[in-house]
Amino acid sequence: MADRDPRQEPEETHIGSDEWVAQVGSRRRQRSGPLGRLATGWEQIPLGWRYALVLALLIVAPFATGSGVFLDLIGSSNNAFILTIGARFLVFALLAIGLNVVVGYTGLLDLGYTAFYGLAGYLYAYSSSNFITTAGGLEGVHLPSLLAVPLIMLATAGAGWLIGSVSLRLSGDYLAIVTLGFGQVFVQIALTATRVPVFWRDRPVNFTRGPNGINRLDDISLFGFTFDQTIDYYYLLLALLVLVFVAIYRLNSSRIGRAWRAIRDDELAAEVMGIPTGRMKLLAFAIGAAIAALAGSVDAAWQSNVVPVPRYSVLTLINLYAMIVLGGIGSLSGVVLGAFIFTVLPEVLRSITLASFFFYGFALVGLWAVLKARHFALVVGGTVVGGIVLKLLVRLLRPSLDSGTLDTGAWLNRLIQSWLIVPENVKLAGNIVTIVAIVVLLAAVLLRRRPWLMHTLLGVGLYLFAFAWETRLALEPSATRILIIGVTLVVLMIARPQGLLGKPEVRVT
Amino acid sequence: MQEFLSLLPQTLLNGLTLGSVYALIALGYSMVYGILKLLNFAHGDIYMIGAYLGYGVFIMLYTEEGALILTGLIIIIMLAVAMVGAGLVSVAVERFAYRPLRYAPRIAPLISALGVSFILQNLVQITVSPRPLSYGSGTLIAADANFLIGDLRVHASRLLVIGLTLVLMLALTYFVRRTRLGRAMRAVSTDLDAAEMMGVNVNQVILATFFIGAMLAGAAGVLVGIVFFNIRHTMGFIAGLKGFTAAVLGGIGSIPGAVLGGVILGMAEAFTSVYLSATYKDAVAFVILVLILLIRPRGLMGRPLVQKV
Repeated sequence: MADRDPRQEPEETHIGSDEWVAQVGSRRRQRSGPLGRLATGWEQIPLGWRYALVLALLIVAPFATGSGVFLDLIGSSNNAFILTIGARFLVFALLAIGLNVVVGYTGLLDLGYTAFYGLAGYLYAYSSSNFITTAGGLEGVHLPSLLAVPLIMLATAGAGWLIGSVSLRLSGDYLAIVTLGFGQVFVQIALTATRVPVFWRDRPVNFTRGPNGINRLDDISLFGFTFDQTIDYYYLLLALLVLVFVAIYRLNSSRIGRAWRAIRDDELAAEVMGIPTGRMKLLAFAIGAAIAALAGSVDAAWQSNVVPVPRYSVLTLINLYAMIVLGGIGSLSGVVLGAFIFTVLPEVLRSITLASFFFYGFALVGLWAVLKARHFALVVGGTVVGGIVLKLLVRLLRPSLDSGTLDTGAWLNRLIQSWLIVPENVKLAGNIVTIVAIVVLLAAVLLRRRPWLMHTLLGVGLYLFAFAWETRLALEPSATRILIIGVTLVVLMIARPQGLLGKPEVRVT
Repeated sequence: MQEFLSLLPQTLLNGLTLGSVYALIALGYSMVYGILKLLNFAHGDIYMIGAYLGYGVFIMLYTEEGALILTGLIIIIMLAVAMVGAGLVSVAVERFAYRPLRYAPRIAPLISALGVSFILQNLVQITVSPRPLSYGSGTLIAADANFLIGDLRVHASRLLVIGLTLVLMLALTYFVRRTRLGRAMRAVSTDLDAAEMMGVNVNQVILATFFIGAMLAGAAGVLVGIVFFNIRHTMGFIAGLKGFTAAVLGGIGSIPGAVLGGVILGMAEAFTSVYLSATYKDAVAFVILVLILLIRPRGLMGRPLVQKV
């Protein structure tokens, strides 16, 4: 974890006002090493071919995961679960692209974005289910999808326009807070509008069915084909994603896109240049909302229900923001990559074995990235040898300390468990060591100016983390995977604040 | 009308208790925002850490045989440990998760804060317990320790919350207005770069701000445990959202504003629960937030923004 305070890094001085020129050294450094070479190789493929390659992968993915070889590998009888994750990734990719229009291109911090997603879900429920029944014999509303989805997109875009125009006089963080308020009000209404007195009926009306939500929605059907399997939705969503991706890509390189980015970089200057800033911001809001509506209605049809919490709550919003920031805010392929990582990673971490590989891999790669090669060998080798020596000493002198048992996970876990000292009260020791390990690691970061001390602490920390992992973390996969995601977010923000595929912000002051 | 009047004093008291807690949390948000323009989304979890540290002291000193020492003393030790512990955690968070991002794009520390929030919550879930823990009703302060003020029954724990909040506010005001570090804090919040050029140790001031904000939140965590008994590892999320709302209501960056916002929010929730329905209290809180911001975009006591070119 390098301290990125530019005032402490003399080699990154600002030459004149052009930071791009000034940062050439750090960019060159990023291109070295195997990862850098890989990135350079990837960029030598023409842009169109790169997109085509990714698209082809996404098209054949369901066949690949449905093949016998793959199913044997994950020990499952069918790939329904994988398809579900795939379709969820596509929904989130659409949402992330929409949010990116508002936040990434136009620079408006919209924290109420999930309200549009939810609004579209509820509108789809009203227009395509048996929910609206009246005494007059109306048995639900069932609009054809080709009519319902565009109407919902239009209505939600209108809502985006409306909320945008109400909150347009606010800027920056205040806009964020008001939109967060709108988002919260939406969830609260969805949760509580179950007994609303209305003028046209003498009984109160249940608008949302509260936390249970509305279920049994119609499937999407186009030209006589009904999408009723997850794989159907996967390809429908993939087609929609390609459409939206191309549309937003084209839009971003048009006058409108340039206007958005001008507003993001300097609103006052943009206004002086004659850009109608108010209208452009509203347009961004409306387009973002329309994309959310597209994702929301197809998603509601796929899941066949709408449930306010947690699907439309702040948690989803946090997930979306993590996706777009992780992938690189303002970069279309970046936010799709972010959506992919954030839907797939939590699922991978559900299995102890995979999570263990990820954990130890993460630790080793992290050490390898921050240390010089020989120091890395020294720390890892020292830890392994030190662990063995410690184990022998304890076995010889105080065998009672190593009397506990651990018996979980795959061969990797068993190997490491046989290397650790396992005391009798494993759980308590594990809890304490978890906290101690974090403190030791943070101390190592603080003491990076003293190499010997730092390397010793890193070795000790590695040992303690292995202990904490085997005794506690691996046993609580549901909490640990969120813990890992949290750590990933913090570390990634520090190492690469612009995200994986984002461009570093050039700020001329 | 008769019913309205008879419920009024109790509702006001509830609102004030709740408002005090919100105000204590809001102050941390507000102070940090005033200096770094950072929405510290991990602040709610610092409050949760405070509640858990208080619980740790509680079970150590209040064993099954009863209290080991005077219960009043236990409460004081709980508060002290929670405040200092929460402060240290918050300082570590600033040092490791925010300081490297001080010159990064605005959204990077925001995401880092979310990451920290995930880390703290799940660490507590793994190492302490995924289930709610209880301070126990009537253990620290007897259930019938009421004071009668006119017709109104005031439970001692509520008096403790309101009284302690008042004391902490006064101490904070004194600190910010009269001490050297407080003056440095105000200078940094007015203009960080200028203050640094004038020789203010900005890093130290920022650490102090995080420490003090977290102390108040830690105290709030213990107080909530004493009044409402139950604590759990996810409690910081909603409380943080409310504290944040309160800070914005009053005008983020303003200390009296945070207190005012907290009390307004607490009152609004108490009144909605009593006179409308408890299910609407969160909705009402956010509707009030949106309305006030649309009318006064800088909050009730916030300074108007002057755009410099």
